Amino acid sequence: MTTTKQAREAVRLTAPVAMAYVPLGLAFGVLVVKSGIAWYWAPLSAVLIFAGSIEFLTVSLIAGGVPFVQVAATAFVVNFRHIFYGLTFPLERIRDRLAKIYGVWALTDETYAITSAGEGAALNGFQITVLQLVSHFWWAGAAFTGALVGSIIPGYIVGFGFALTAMFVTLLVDSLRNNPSAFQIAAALSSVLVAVIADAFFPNWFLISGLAAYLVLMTGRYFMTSTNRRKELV
Amino acid sequence: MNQQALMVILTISAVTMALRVVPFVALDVLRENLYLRYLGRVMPVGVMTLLVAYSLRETDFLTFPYGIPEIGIAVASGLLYWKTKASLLSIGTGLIAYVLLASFVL
Repeated sequence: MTTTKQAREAVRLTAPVAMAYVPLGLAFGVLVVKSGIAWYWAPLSAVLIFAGSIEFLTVSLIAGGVPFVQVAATAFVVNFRHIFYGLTFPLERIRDRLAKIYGVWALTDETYAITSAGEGAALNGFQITVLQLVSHFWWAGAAFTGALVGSIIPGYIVGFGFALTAMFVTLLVDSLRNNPSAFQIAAALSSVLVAVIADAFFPNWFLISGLAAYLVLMTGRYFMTSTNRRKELV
Repeated sequence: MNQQALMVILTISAVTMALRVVPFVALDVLRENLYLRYLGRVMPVGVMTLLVAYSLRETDFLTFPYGIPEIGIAVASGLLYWKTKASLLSIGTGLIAYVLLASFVL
């Protein structure tokens, strides 16, 4: 297969990624501008972070003036799942050093999903790099366009912050599809309560106190369970 | 605002990249550590629940309309996604419904 053909094949596989990234990226761009942040931060964030859900959160972290310790801790917990993607990502197929670094840097949920199953599992290193570059372009391009669109939406149209809620609701539903235990759900709801109370005394510490509470509860459950039953614990 | 934006974006970028690099340098530890794998399984439910709550934290539940539009549309779009698995449909419908309501009714 010629290089052009290989590249075209990789670009074709980004179609479902584009379907997800373009509308979300547009919503993200609009949200940035509507939150009073300069438009160019939308594409800059899309290029530099390139992790959808945390970027929506970035908007409220910037606008809210949240302390950096909390920003870092929030990013850590929200993106913790990425730690497991690298375990099966076929990085060894990418030959070029720079492309390898980029491969790790641009390892999103979607790239991981595509390269781990179906047609995408057969891609060579060059094609994986093309797949990642094109996906990155869809996301940053959509964020840029969204920021422009956001600038011309009249000021009396409000409520774009709800994009954040609507997106996290779909991610919550996805996590609920994996049959969480009653304990997990109870722990999640309790940590919301902790977060609400903490936030009343220490503004801006909502997320970090809630996440800490959840982590403590789930860790407690893990170490209270006998060693031989921990393997399947949820 | 611009300095704050740059610092927040760079911080998040650095943390995200670090998380993406870790498995390539500590492959065996991650593969074999049961506790970390357990956290990988159970974190999403808690994280997402908190993020939904966080995104609604400025909603006023004590005065009219008592957060009913926010909760109602969030639940409806969640159910729509549960049934259809079409995230765009669900996010799009929820966002448009809320923006229309917030701009022209409330």
